[in-house]
Amino acid sequence: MATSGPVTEKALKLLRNLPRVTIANLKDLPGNQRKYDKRRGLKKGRSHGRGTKGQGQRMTLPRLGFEGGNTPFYLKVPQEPYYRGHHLRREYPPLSLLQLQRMIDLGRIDADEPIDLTTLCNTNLYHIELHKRHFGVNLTDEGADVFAAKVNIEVQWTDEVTIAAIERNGGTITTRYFDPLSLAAVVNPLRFFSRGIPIPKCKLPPEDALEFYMDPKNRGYLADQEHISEGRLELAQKYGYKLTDIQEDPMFDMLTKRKNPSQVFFGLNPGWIVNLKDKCVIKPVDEQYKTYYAS
Amino acid sequence: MAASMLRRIVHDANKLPIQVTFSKAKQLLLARSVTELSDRPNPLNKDDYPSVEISTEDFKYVERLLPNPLIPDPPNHEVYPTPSGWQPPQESALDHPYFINRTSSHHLPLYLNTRAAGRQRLTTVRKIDGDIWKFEEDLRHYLETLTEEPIITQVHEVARFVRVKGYHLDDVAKFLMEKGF
Repeated sequence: MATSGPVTEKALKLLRNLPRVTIANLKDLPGNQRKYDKRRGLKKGRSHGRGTKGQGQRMTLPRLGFEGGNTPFYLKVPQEPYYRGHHLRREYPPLSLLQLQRMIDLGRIDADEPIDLTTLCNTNLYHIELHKRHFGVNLTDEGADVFAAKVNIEVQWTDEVTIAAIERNGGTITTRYFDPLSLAAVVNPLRFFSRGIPIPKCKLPPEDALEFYMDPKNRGYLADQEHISEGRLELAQKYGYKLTDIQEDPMFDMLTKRKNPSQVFFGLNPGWIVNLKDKCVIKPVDEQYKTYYAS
Repeated sequence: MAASMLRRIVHDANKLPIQVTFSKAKQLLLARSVTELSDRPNPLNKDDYPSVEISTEDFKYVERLLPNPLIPDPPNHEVYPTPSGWQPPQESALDHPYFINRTSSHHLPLYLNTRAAGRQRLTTVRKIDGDIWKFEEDLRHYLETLTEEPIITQVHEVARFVRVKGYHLDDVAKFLMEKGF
């Protein structure tokens, strides 16, 4: 768009000066409008498109769903209380420790960097489908006995054996929640940045999930760090392995890297807009914006 | 006076394909707000919008989030097989009259099909080069030593695969890895 011609200039001038265009102040071109057909006259009169005699012409058709007397479909299928609320339940598609180890062995995942849901989805070996009520990754314990990588991993659901398997190798695991908009950003950051909207601040989990993420036994991101350290010792005693001192680990900084509860990406704060074309990050300077996104 | 200004703008607009119609009430409303029309932000003027800070240093955090479009080569390990049980192809693979190629994700081309509601299971080995019948013979003899059940196989010369009826994934994987494929 090097130079704009007179028609474009006029259009832009209109856009700047006229009120907002709404459905209420638009009209179709004369040739595209279709008249409402009242069905009067020689050809359209007589039965007025309703056929001959019967219920169709006389407006005595039965209710919608009626099938002539047999039990209609909408009554034939019984209710099943087992599936009540099924459409509201959150799903966490599983990823086993064996699969994770295989990804690390083949260089699909770099174990020297923190692993989160974005890393897993970027391998293109694990997928999250938002329209199927997926809310994150469930790290399962299949392959707990062969798992040998020291990782800092952030998942959405896990169990005790998996936590023990990761901590046994000197790694750390955290469970955290992503709300749907944040999850869309996490699962496909490239698509999210292309939208040009600010990075969202991640909301707190819903009530039924809050307990899980506040429990240090699940290494929840909302739990107390002291209780988590105690939990690490407990698990080591329960499963019979020696817990190495994480502070003396050369990878201590990487292993203790955590996101804030409202932060979605490492190194990027909520409120920022990523410009992929010009390879820069746009940050708001206005105090109102800053306080909102920092809260 | 304000209404006449509007009518002038609309008169100009009438020459364009979009027709904009106003009711009388709206005209009166607009007449009141016509003085504020010039206060609207001009998208071509940066001073009309709130100020922002542009950072190129923080873009490195964005680059970490972008996916790698290519499958990387597996790194070199000191000990094979790796903890997950993976092993690269060996040089002993070239000693045979047949060759089994690895897939693009560096795995064995070994698959399990489950059909007929779980009653039928088929183990398939794909990407076979060379003497496919010799490969089928060796595989069959190997599996026959492990079980008394009859080993029923299918050889597809054109599509270059060999199928075995039943679940034999672990046994066939062991056979292929021992051969060095």
